[in-house]
Amino acid sequence: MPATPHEALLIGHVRKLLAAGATTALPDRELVERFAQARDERAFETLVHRHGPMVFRVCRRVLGRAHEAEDAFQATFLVFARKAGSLRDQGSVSSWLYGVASRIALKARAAVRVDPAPSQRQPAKATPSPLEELTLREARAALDEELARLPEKFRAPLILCCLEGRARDEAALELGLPFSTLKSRLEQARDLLRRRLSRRGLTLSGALSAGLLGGGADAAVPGALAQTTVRHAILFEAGTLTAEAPAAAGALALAKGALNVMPTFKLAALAAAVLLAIALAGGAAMRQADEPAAPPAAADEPSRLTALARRLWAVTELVAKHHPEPPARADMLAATAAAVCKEAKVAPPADLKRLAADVSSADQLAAFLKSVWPAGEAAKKPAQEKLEAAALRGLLGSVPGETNLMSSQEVRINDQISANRYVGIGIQIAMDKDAKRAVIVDPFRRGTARKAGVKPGDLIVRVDGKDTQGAPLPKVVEWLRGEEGTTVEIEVRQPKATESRTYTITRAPVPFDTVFGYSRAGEEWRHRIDSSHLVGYVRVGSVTSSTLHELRHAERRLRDEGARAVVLDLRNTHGALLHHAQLMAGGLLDGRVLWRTRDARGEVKEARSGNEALFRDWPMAVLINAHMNPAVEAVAAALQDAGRATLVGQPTQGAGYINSLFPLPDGGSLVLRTGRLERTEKGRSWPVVPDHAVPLDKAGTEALAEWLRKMERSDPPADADRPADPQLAKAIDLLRTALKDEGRGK
Amino acid sequence: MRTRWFLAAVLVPAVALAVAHLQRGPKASPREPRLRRPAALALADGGKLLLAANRRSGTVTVIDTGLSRAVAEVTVGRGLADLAATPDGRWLLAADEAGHELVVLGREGKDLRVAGRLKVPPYPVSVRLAPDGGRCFVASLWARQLTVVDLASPSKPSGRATIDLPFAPRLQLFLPKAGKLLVADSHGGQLAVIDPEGGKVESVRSLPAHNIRGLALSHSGESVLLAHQILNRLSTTARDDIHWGNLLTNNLRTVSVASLLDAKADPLRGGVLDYLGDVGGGAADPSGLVVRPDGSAVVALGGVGEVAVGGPASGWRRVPVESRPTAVALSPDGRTAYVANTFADSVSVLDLSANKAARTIRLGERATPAASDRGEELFYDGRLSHDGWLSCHSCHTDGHSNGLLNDNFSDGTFGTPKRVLSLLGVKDTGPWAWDGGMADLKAQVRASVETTMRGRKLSAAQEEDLAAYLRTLAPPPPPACAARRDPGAAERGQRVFREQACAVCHAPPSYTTAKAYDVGLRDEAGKRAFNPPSLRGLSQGRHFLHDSRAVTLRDVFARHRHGLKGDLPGADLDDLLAFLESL
Repeated sequence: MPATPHEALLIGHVRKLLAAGATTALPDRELVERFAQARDERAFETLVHRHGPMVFRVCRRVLGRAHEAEDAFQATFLVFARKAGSLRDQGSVSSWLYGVASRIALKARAAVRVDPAPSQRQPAKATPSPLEELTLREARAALDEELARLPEKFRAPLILCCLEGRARDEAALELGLPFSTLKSRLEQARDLLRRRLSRRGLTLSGALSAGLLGGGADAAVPGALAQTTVRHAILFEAGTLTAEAPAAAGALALAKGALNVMPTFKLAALAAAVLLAIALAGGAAMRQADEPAAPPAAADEPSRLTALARRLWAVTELVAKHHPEPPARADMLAATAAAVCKEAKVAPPADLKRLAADVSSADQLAAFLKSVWPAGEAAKKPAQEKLEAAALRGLLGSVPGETNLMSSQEVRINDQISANRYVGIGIQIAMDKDAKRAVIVDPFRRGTARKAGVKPGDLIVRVDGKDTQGAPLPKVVEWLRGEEGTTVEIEVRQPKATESRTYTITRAPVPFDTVFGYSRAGEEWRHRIDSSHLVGYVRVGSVTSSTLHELRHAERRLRDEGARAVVLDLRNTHGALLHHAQLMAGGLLDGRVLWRTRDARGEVKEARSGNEALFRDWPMAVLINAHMNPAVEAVAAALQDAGRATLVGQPTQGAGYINSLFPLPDGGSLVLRTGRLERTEKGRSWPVVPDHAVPLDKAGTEALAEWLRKMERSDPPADADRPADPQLAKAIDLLRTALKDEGRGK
Repeated sequence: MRTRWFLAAVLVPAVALAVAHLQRGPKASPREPRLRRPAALALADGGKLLLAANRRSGTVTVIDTGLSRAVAEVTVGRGLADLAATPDGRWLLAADEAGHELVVLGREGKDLRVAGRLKVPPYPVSVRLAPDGGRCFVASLWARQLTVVDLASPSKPSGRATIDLPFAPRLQLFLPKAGKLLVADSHGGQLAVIDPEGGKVESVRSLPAHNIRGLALSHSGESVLLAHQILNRLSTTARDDIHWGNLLTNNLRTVSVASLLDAKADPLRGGVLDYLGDVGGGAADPSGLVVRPDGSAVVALGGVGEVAVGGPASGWRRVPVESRPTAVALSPDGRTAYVANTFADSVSVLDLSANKAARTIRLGERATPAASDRGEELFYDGRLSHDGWLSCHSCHTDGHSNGLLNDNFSDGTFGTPKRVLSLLGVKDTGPWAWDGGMADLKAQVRASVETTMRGRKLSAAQEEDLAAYLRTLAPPPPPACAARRDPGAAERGQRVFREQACAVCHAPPSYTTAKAYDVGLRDEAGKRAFNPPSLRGLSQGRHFLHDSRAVTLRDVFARHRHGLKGDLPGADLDDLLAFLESL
């Protein structure tokens, strides 16, 4: 009788364990050394078995479908085999594997979604993330990304303790750290991750991060997969693995892809960190207007240098075409080469500029790069990567403005966040170690679960009849997840309660707030500041697709509360796209030109509002400071230029530049300065200067920032903790006076 | 010059005599299978009888509200658009849009008979009575005229005055305190204030609105409520913009009568704009409105088969009814609303105390709809769009155009808003889209649903049906003012048209050609080649050229010198305009 798959898996495991013999007890570093030095197959096998479950979990999480996850799994170890030699001086193996696995999986997923033959008339956004796309899985993908982006010293402890489930003392040993250091790094890592996630608009609590990553049983690596992977990795390292080998084609392509782009990933990650802080104007339109500047790599694998040259060339083309003050191409290329030389610690050729000036195609660029590229010892792989990264850095650094590269995944996540659509029942869950069940950490305010009556701290007992006892968190999440409009039945109970409660909950979009009130009254925001006057308060925290809609709701609530004047607080705004800022400004003004945009060709376009004019006829004060998104600064400027509002606070910081997003042949995008915003009031420019300056010292500014951040949380702090806010006080004063004047018929 | 012709009231003799009874009024029967498509409702006998005017069958169905049953049906005309009852309930007035007549019906109990007919300017779409019942007003869509009709002898209606309007009208509202009549634009957002005594347009107000399909007075008489749509010029048709209500909203607007009547006042000041739909549940195409004594409103949401009940203060409750609810009538006690479901040939009876549809009354046996009938149903179906925010009709109002700019993807780019084209006469104007990129009407339909409305893919049969409906749409005739011009001018203008070689691009009989040309226009994405829009029905256009940069037809030549070879003397330009407006 043949063994069941499960039995086969077990038997395989036992066999491997026995065969692996002595190597199973060795630390990672020793095993890597053995493999790198002597191609010790058993050492490699041990590593696959030790870290395989973590890698497989990452791949499964990102890709979902089994065979794609298996390809990504294999590819990760192929890359590992190829890179083992350079890993000796790296930190934690698991952390390294985690990073590679998540990048490969994300890349694979992006590839799966590319329409093989996009029709010409289809917009770039023709298949904009369907509603169901932004699920918990997206949140976890973002989490994976942010994890990959953490500094190694933070990432390694998180991965070992939370993802691989190692005990802390064991992890400390593995990383060669004192226990107390590990503990504090773990704490700091969680904090950093939480902050970065919240900056991306993901309001995941630390508990969720821990919950999502940790807990649960191993994702079992199919025995056959582990074996194939070891076999293929050995062949790959030796350079003899071909796509014809059974089950190798997919993994091989992914691995090669990963090895090709490795240096640029780091840059891309850097770019994303600032992405949400910059305005992307006309991104959609320009993305369609511009076909990728160079054709994708041909079927025959180009040399690394050729691939790099194509990429760099594509960037210079876009800069030349769209940048308002483009540097000469020769200067860009000279800066590129100079950066390479600096990285290689060699003096650049004296005639660098002249050489650069002769370059007029991607192929010539490849030759030019080759002429300055160090040979010999410095040409080894790790050095290569550093050199390639230096080349990109040098090029981007030579272009005025915040020029950055983003991966396709980053572009997509950014799109989803700016669309503000997230489908689910709206809960954060974690694993409760004692009950061995998922526990609901926080039911989101606008989630259907909260509306149904789910409470923080509820243990999930059953999901659609399935017992959650001992079920790993990803499993529970999978049960909870589903299409918009479908329902899920969950049975919950408080830890100490004996009675459980059952709810049938509809999965729906769970939007996050971008517009906030003064204080929270139950589920709703309160906008009236004080019952002694008629001034209401509306804060815009970020500007997304949903902001205009939220402002309409806020206006209605203000009317219901009896307000007659409004303070619009735009201080400390994070993400915003110019398109959405334009919609917001358009909603606030009555038939006005908001601003003009001047592009690289000097062409000027006018953005004119309709007549919605929210808060019509009300006195309005707008709070501004130096910590605003440039697109939101533009909104403040438009309100000031239209004479619609009095601006109070401190000058902004922006210079009115517009950045746009351009697709690159590799699926990523280039963020590039493409123009400038012009104000409509003659003589006014950037930064935006308040009509009433109210300074705030450093401590006050920090306290305010902290407070505004806290107010965006699910459960904002009590009003008593509110820091002194002289800017708001001034705005209220001005509005009260305006109301009084109105009353006197002035 | 341009303003004078429509401000001038033209007294006309009664062009048609009242004709004999029952000349075209054989009894019809609810048992006869046909498509009726009720478009207007009126109550009589203290709410015991409900009368439905049917647009397709030209009949009036008599419903006994006690029995909840259609008890009689009378053939009245060719296609009825509106119905009004005199205060004493003895007479009913029907606007026969297809027959270009006002039909007076005498009523005794459930018996209706045609008592008189009056030829009115083409396409009468609404009829309203003055409060005393002695006069009524008939608004004629394409003629762009309002006719004041004397009803001193109801069976012998006579035209007393005809007033030219600056837009194609639809709804009317009498303001009893001021003694003025408001007439609303059928496609765009204009309102004309009319002095019925003096027979002239007093002022024209512009609201940020289009598709005004509800017009009612508050109970205090101090404010006017309008159900309409707003298209945001800054939004694109990207899915997210539609999703969050950035592109198009369905609204109930309250404006004060005082600021409407004061031509110098901002008509929006002190007004309230309310949003009928919300994220996840758009409220496509408000199509009918009544105001209840308690101040709440009942709005038929034609595009989503629902009725919204409520108001800015209380919020909105949505009640599902049947396909394309349009006209709404309120029972005298204000507790019951009757809603005509145009495409379902039924009337839903709403219990307003419980906010639910209590009953549905069938108007009769329903015939099987043809492909173009099914296409018409799709054309007005907001559920083709993402979350029900808009239908084809939302922008291509009744197949025409709302006259606004929209930044959609049919030109292959965003950031390049273009004027919404009229679809009237569309079968002869291929290839479609501004760049002429669509050789197949079905492909254009598909692209519009997917990239403009962001809805689900249409089935092949649905595409066929929609295209079949679009092919039935004929270009609109010129307004009455154009027809009054010196016929010689149009003839001379045709010569100018020839001399200027306009026909190279705008070749008769469709006055378009298949290619795209660079005529010195350039959109924001740098596109220079445009497919010439057909010139048929040009007189009913609002603004001109791809981005509406020409505010008037004269501007097309006088300011933008579109397609001109050399100078065009003023007289020649006048003649050319006369010719173009005759097409």
